[in-house]
Order: sequence, then C-alpha cells, then structure tokens
Amino acid sequence: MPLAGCTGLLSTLDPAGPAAASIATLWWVMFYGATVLFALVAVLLAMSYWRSGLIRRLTPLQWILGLGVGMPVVVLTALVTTAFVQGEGLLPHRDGVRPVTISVLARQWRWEFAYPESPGVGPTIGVLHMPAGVPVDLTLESADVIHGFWIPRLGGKLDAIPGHVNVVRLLADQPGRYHGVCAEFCGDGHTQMRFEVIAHAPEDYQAALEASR
Amino acid sequence: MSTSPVPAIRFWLLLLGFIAWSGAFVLLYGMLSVGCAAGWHLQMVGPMSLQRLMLVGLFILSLAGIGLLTFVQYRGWKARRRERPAPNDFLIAGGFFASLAALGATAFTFAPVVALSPCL
Amino acid sequence: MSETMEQGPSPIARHKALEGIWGTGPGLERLAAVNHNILGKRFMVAALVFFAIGGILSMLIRAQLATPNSAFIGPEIYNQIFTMHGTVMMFLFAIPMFEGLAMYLLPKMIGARDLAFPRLTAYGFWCYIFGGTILVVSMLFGVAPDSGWFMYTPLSSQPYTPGINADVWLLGVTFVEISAMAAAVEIIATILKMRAPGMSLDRMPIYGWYILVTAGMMLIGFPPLILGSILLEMERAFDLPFFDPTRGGDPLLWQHLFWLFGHPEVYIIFLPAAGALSTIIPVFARHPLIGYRAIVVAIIAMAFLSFGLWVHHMFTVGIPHLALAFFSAASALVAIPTAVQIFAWIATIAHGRPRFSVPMLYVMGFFFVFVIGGLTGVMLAMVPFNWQAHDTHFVVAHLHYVLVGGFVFPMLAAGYYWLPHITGRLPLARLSVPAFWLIFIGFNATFFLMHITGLMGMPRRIATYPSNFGWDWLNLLSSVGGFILTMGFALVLLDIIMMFKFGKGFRRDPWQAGTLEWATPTPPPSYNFAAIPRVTERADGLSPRLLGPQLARGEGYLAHTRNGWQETLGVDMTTGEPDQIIILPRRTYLPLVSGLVTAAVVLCMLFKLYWFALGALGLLVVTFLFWAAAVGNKSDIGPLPAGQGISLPLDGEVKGSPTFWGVVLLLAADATLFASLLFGALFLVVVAPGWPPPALLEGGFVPGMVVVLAAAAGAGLARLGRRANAANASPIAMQLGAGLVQAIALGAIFWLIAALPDPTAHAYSATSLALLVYLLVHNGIAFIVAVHAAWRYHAGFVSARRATDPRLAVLWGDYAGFAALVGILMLLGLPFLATLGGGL
Ligand code: HEM
Ligand SMILES: [Cu+2]
Ligand SMILES: [Cu+2]
Repeated sequence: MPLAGCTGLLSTLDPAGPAAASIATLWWVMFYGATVLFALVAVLLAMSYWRSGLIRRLTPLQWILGLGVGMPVVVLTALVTTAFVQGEGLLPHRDGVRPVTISVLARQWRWEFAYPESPGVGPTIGVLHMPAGVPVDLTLESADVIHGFWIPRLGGKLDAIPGHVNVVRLLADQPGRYHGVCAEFCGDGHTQMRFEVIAHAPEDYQAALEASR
Repeated sequence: MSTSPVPAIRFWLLLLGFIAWSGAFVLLYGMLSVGCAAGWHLQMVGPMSLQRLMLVGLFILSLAGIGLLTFVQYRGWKARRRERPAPNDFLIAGGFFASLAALGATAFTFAPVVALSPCL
Repeated sequence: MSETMEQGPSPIARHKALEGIWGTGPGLERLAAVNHNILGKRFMVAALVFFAIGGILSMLIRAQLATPNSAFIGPEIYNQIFTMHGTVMMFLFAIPMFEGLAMYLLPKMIGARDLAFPRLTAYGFWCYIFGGTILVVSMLFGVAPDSGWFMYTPLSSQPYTPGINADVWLLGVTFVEISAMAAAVEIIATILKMRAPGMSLDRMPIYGWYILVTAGMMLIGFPPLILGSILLEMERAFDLPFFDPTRGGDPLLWQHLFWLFGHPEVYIIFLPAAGALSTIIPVFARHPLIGYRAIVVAIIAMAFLSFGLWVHHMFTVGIPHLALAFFSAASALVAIPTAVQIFAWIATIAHGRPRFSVPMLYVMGFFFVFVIGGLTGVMLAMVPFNWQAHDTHFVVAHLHYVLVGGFVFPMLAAGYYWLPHITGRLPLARLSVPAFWLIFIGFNATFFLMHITGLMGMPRRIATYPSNFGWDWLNLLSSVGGFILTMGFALVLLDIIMMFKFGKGFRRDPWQAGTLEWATPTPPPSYNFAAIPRVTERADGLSPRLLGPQLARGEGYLAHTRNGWQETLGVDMTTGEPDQIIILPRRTYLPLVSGLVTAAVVLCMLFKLYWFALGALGLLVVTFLFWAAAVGNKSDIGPLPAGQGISLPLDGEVKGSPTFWGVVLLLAADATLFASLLFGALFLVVVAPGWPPPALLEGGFVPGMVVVLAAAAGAGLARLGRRANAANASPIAMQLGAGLVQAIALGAIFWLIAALPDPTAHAYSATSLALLVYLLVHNGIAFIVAVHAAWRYHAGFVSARRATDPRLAVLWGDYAGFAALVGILMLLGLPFLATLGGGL
C-alpha cells in the first residue's frame, strides 16, 4: 500500500476498531478504483490528441451512452450498494447487542464524559474511559454550539447539536490510549478542543472508573 | 406573428421528468421525517413496519407516475419521428430522454427504501 | 420609413449614429453606464480584485499552517481569515466572475444588442460593489465574520457571536445576493426573448444553454439562503428564536436552508465554466461539439439532481440512515451527467483535428484537476467514508480540486480565449506557458497533499497543530505549493498586462470560431451589431469572418437609428421568430442612486438604526418608482419597420414583453423564498425540540379570512381593471379599488400580528410573524403596483395596446392573493399542527 506509512495518533488509515477498519477498507477500494478511472480518462485524453485513430472508431453514441452513462451506472451501483450495507452495519442497532452507554456533553471548549451505568463516577473532563473489546454507545449532547465528536482511529464522527441527542457506536479492539478531536468548528477554542481516550481491558474498566473519581 | 410549429409550452417537456423526480424527493423525504416523528417505524403491519410500508408504497407510486410520463413522451416522440423534421423537434426527443433519465434517477435514489433503517 | 433607411448610410456613419445613442459619456458620466459591455467588464475586474484579496488571505492561511505550533496569528484572527477567504472566493469572486463573463458574452453570442434590463445590470453591479466593500472593510476594523463561510448557528447567533461580525456576513452577503438575483432574472429573459431571428432553441450555441440552466438554478437556489439570512439576522437583531433550540427553534434548520443553496451553488459555479469549455474545445478540436443534445439533457439533469443532494454536507448531524441514503445516491448520480460531458469533450477532440494553444493548455489542466475532484466527490458521497473524512482537510482538498479545477482553470482558458475580443489584441505566448506550469504544479502540490493530511486526521479550520500527529511535512509542502501557485497567478497577471501593451491587433475571429460574438468588431462597440443577423443553422457553426462585414454594412435587422431609441429585436421563446422591437432604457444615474439607498438600508441595519433603515427602505421604493416613470410612450405607435421587409410592434405594445417575463421570473424566485419559509415552519413542527409552544394564536380566524378575501378581491379587481383597459375603458376605478382592498388586507395583517403571542418566546410565534411579514410585504407591493398602474393610466402611458402596467398589476394581484391564501392557511393550521407536534 503506497500510503501505508500513514500511521499516526489521529490517522483514519491506522484503524484500531472494526468501524474505522471497515471504512479504511472502503477507502482503499475507492482509492484503487478511482486511480483506474482517472487513468482511463487520462489515457483517452492523451489518445484523443496523439493516437486518435484508435479511438475514432467509437461512435458518439458509444462515447456518451457507453462511457458517459453505462460505465458510471455500473460502478456507482456497486459502490453505493456496498456503502449502504456497510453503513447499516455501523449503526447503533440494539438487537442482540448490549453496548455500554457513556454520555458525552460538549461545551465550549471541553468534553465531559459521564457514566450512567456506574453511578457516582465522573464526569471525567477531557478523558474518556471505555472498555476495550465491547461495543460502546456514546450519547452526544451539546451545552452551547455544535461540536463534532471524532476519534479517528476508532470510527466515524458525529455532531453534538444543542437540542438533539445523537448516538455513535464505537469499539476499541485493544486496550490503549487513543485521541479524539472536535471536528466541527466551534469558535476560538476549536483548535484546542481535543480529548484523550483510554480503553481499558474489560476486567480493569470498573476499577479505572473508580480510580478516576 | 408567431408561425410557431412548436408551441412555447414544449420547452417544459425538457423539465417535466425531473420536476416529477423533485416532487417524489420532497414527498419521500418529508414523509420519512413525519413517520419517524410519529413513531410509525415501531408499528408493525405484518412483516414490515408501517413506516416502510408507506415509503415503499410512495416509491412504487413515484416510479409508476414518472414511468407513465416517460411513456407518454415516448409515444409523442415516436409519432413525431414519422413526420417531417421541424425546428425544435429536439424538445420532444430531449424531453423523452430527460424523463427516461428521471425515471432511472427515481429508481436509483429511492431504492434504499426497501432495506435501510428508516429512523436510525 | 423609406427604402433609404434600409440601405442606410456608410458603415462609419452608421457606427457614429449608433454609438451616439448606445455609448456612455466620459468622466463622471461613466457612473451612469448601463451597457452590458462596460458592466460585464466591471464585474470581471472587480471579481479579479476580490480574487486577489481572497488569494492573499489564503496565503496567510498557508503561512500560518506551514509549521506546527505556529504563533503567527491567533485563533481570533485566523477564524476571520478563513471565513473571509471562503466568503470572498464564493460570493465575491466566483459568482460575479461568471456573471460578468455571461453579461459580456451572452448578448453577442445570441445576437442581441444588450441585456434585457440594462438598468438592473447596473443596479446589480452597485449592490455587488457596495456589499463586497462592506465585507472587506470589516476586516480592516477587525470585525470580519468569523463563524466559517457557512455560518452555522448557534455559533453565529447572538450569545456566541455578540459583536457585529455575523451581521456583517448576513447583511453583506444578502446585499451581494441582490445582484445575483438580478443577473439571473435578466439573463433568462434575455436568452428566452432576445435571440437573433431564426435562432430556435435548438440552434442556440451551447453556452446559451449552460447559462440559461445556470440562471434558472440561481433563481431557485439563492432564495433559501436569502430567507435563512433574513431569519438569522432577525434572530440576532430582534431575538426571534428561529434557530434557538431552547425556544422551539433548531440549528439544523439553518443548515438545511444554507445547503439547499450551498450545494446547487457549486454547480452554479461549475456550469458556466463548463459552458465555456463546451465552446472552446470544439474550436481547437476543429470539430463541432459531439453530443450537443445529450449535453443539454445532461445539464438539465445535473441542475435538478444538484438540488437533491444538499444533505451530503450534513451526513454527521444524526439524520436517519435511509434519508442519508437518498442524498448519497443522488450525489453519486450527479457524476453521470458530468461523465457525459467529459466524454463528449474528449470525443470532440478525438474526432477532430486538434491544435494546441494556450487556452487548450488550461483545458488539459481542467481535465486533470477536475476529474480528480469529481472522483473524491463520489468518495465523499459514500456515507461511511464521509463520517471519517467530513470536516477534515480531505474536504478542503476536494473542494479546491472541484472549484479550482472546475472554475479557475476553465476561466483561465476562457480568459486567454476571449481577452482578444475584449482588447482587440492577441496574447503573446511567452509568459503564458511557464505561468500555466507554475499554477498546475503549485496547485497540485498544495492540495493533493491535503487529501493525505485529512486522512491522517487533520480537521479543517484549526489555527495550529502540535507536532505529534505526523502532519508537519505535508503541511509545509502544501504551503510551498501555495506560494508556487501564487507566483503562477502573478505571472498570468503580468502576461495580461503585456498583452494589453504589446499584443498584436487582428482583423476578426482570430481562432476561427463559429459563434456570433466574433462577428462584432473587436473591441466591440457599445451596440455590438450594426445590424442583427438572421440565423439559419446552429449558431456555433457560423462564419463570423464573412458575417461581420455584412452586419457592419447594415445587412440585417434594425440597421437604422430612429428617435434616439436603443432598439433590439425580441423573438418568440422557442422558435426564435421575431415578434417585437424592444426599446431599451438609456444611460442613467438611477441605478447608482438606488444602489446607494440600498447601501443606506444595509448600513442602518448593521448599526442597529432600525427606524432609519425603515425610512431608507421607503426611499428605496420611491427610487424604483422613478425607474418606471422613465419608460413608456404616451401614444400608440403600432408596427414599425424592422428591416428585411418586416414590421413589428414595440415591446410596450405586446403581451410577452421582456418586462412581463422579468416579473414572472422574479415571482418564481419569490415563490421559492415563500416555499422555503413554509418548509421551515413545517420542519420546526416535525423536528425541532421544545414543541408544543406555550401559547398559540387565538381569534385569528376572522382577520385571517379578511386577509384572504381582501387579497382575492384585490386580484379580481386588478383583472377587471385589465379587462376594462383592453376594452378601451378607464381601469382607474378598478385599480384604485384593488389598492383599497389591499389596504384592508394590510390592516387585517396588522391585526393578526397584534394578536400573536410574544414572538420572542417561542419559534412558533416567531415563524407566524415571519409568515405575516411576508404577506405584509406582498400585499403592500400589490397595493403599490395597482395604484401605480392607475397613475400610469392617468398620466397617459397606458392604452388598450400599451397594457404592460395593467398586466403587471394582474400578476402581482394574483401572486399576492395566492400568497395570502397559502400563508393564512399555514398560519391558522400551525396551532393545530403544533399541538400534534407534541405527539409527533
Ligand atoms: C489561490 C489558491 C487557494 C489556496 C492556497 C487556498 C487555501 C485554502 C485553505 C488552506 C483552506 C482551509 C482553511 C482551513 O480549513 O483552516 C481554504 C478554505 C476554503 N477555500 Fe480556499 N484556497 C485557494 C483558492 C480558493 C478558491 C479559488 C476558492 C473558491 C472559488 C476557494 C474556496 C474556499 C472555501 C469555500 C474554503 C472553506 C472556508 C471555510 O472553511 O469557511 N479557495 N482555502
Ligand atoms: Cu468544539
Ligand atoms: Cu455539496
């Protein structure tokens, strides 16, 4: 992979959970597909100048209906279907899954994490504790303006919007430290509105929460 | 003054199909929001939720409506082709093809109603 | 009018006579210019100045981001800089730039002597300049907008942006928007009504189609933003909580309204550029455009589809997956009409005998850059990928690949292609080629790397970053690329200056093009064509070299001058057969005066002098009445010879005059604004938190019915007035009657407003108030138009033949009646829906 060097604390191409991993796969598929399509256009364009004899045999109908309509219809149908199925898999469905719930409150300019399943704990500010290896549903709310909750190595982002409650499901494969940012511009402190994620082994999770008290 | 072989109204032929597509869009997206707000996705009607039943129904309705429009324009185009070519015939042919494209677009854009989560 | 008129004087004498009528005076009289040649150029020059300003801002951004932990500028300033960069580039560069080019070219390409509403062109220009100046000057005072170019609420609302920064954006951009609406109306009217005789729609040069579709999109696309801006400004100024989630509003409503405009906007920017490409490529391929008809269908499909994908900017706001799927699929679909055009262009080159030239170099640059932007666009349309890439520098990269690839490169091609038309001089290729390579390499270096920075997690709109995320090198190289890019643009500027100074002149049509604009002398005279040609084939395969001299000799329509009139031909919309002689208004200071008064309104709003603003608004209406006073005849004239043996009536004496169609188009835009307001009301009922409201309108039925009935009576009386007028009787009684009932409607509207519960308490009453204000404005206009029509009759401007004024009174009466009916239904229905809303 040409961009395999793209590791980094916030890299979407260095996934540490199933959501981020499946999206990274989608990216690579699209990247190679797009490269092929780009090459096709570039080659046709070059030939139109220097080797037009070869492609002049194409009739206008073939250019327009074949290349202009037919080819994209096939490619896009396949792509869109894949993306829909994948998107469905990333939603916080409740059937058969018992996720841990953590509530997230965003405000200018910090993140507050509360743990409704562990009464008396938290909120922890700027640090999110979560168990590794289990799905976690984060309910996002905002106290003021719109913020964007994003832990790139774990999965996609979702906005915290005043007046609304959004739920994003994430799962960290391994215990460890991850990093999150505010993705939606929220004023002067936007740049600094980062947070830390500590994924604990499930057996250590409760103890860690108690310790954070 | 106007010895127009094609009345001005024909200009609209080019737009009809996609106007219908826009109508279907507004209808489906609007009813989707209303259904989620009213909790229709939780009411089951046989194997599917009321919400999906409604959306699939609207989807089929849109396909049928735009399909009919396309068919009518196709007939007009066929009939026109048998006559002597006249200026602006293109509005008739183009209208048919635009509607055909709109029909395809309707199928493509709204097909997800059969499977995806309507309110999550 | 005798035979001698047809043969006419020598070309020189004819030129002098025409120039005397159409030309603009020297010195300060330039401020009175209404001619599209002058204004088109002014638009383009102003747009380039704003491009330079936006470019300098982008250099500041890149300087700041070049290194980690940069202390060059703090977040307060950085936020203003990127907000202004985006705002200037979108609203003050891209849109005015293509408008200017279209204003300059379009009349020439379709064989008209000017645009349909020259004074409106000038008024639009002043609105653009004054609005743009307000925005830019705010930067000098450090109070520039700083909430990002899409101004999301609540960040842009009063509590979180207490200064005037957001007001500057809302008022300034809306001010500039007036010029876009004006341009849209007059471009459509011009294309539909003012083509050369014989130019049926399918003989129109393809650029005409592109601009027609673009203008149609502007007509529908801008009103949602104008409405959104008005509502947000009302929230900020008067505490009406449309977007405040604690009082029944919803920040998502702003996002819907903004992107309902914002997405079509990028196609509005792309299509005119694609129109230029579709014109230029066949010339250099020496082959007619392949797939003309397929392209027409494709751009219509594109226009509609682009209105069905705005939510792809909102994939992360928590909308149901199925709804996202609609927008995702529509976003993917829009790639198809794009592909149709790309392959049609390549096919045109392949089937022709292509030659290389500087414009073609930029066309190649376009293909390279734009195709990449299109491909990343399809990627971003995929919901899961969007969840990762949204709001990162990947999006910054994508949007620049599309905007620079799809607009700047084509405009540079267009510049090198059409500048000879403007200057009458040919370019010198010496600097052009290195400039291209600097731009091409610089651009890709800057933005290609941003895809990677984005995938590595760098959010957009951050003022700096620490060193531990691995973005340092990528950002530094991006910044280096940015400076190479800037050098390229500087070289282009130098190249253009050299061309003005040292370029060689030419006779006519230096590129062997086939479109009518090259049949004018170059630089073009103010009236474009000494005579208007008849078109007998598709107007991109003509021979300007032969046609030009014929027209200069007066072989064509309207080759004479009479009464000092600015005459051009009007035609049937579809067939292009001539049906009227259009007399255009001449140079005047009125647009400038109206522009200044509009600026006064905006400034009073900005500085919260609301009563003064209201006063200035009244003054503005008065200045517009002066516009009307200057047109029309006091006696019936009947058909006049138009050359080539035909006689035609004047536009003031026919049914479908450009003025009439202009008002129809304006009403279409107005209806879109109204529809957006209705959508907003329903959206809040269904989606917003905090419903049902604490208090509802009571006792609204009676006054509501009064409004509806009075407005209906107003419409009916206006119709009766028109009927009386057609029968040679006086319409005055009916029209004054219409005015009277409209006044009654206004009274009932005030009654309703007084009956509303406190509009600052809940979005329900705020929305009801907005509906009522809308009705107030429209019944008010219907009142003015009806009374004005009566006055025009009284003053002798109206007869059974000269019936434009009574016709306009009917149009406005009908629309006000329709709006009253729908608006009152909504108003009375809202309390009912609102209580349901709690259950919903
Ligand atoms: C001249 C070369 C240009 C450079 C180097 C440049 C650079 C940038 C950069 C670095 C950003 C990201 C700022 C941030 O997220 O912090 C940006 C944003 C943006 N640029 Fe450009 N840009 C250029 C030209 C253009 C052009 C020609 C257009 C449009 C026609 C444009 C439209 C925008 C918009 C709309 C934004 C988003 C602003 C926002 O986030 O509010 N740019 N530009
Ligand atoms: Cu934030
Ligand atoms: Cu978009």
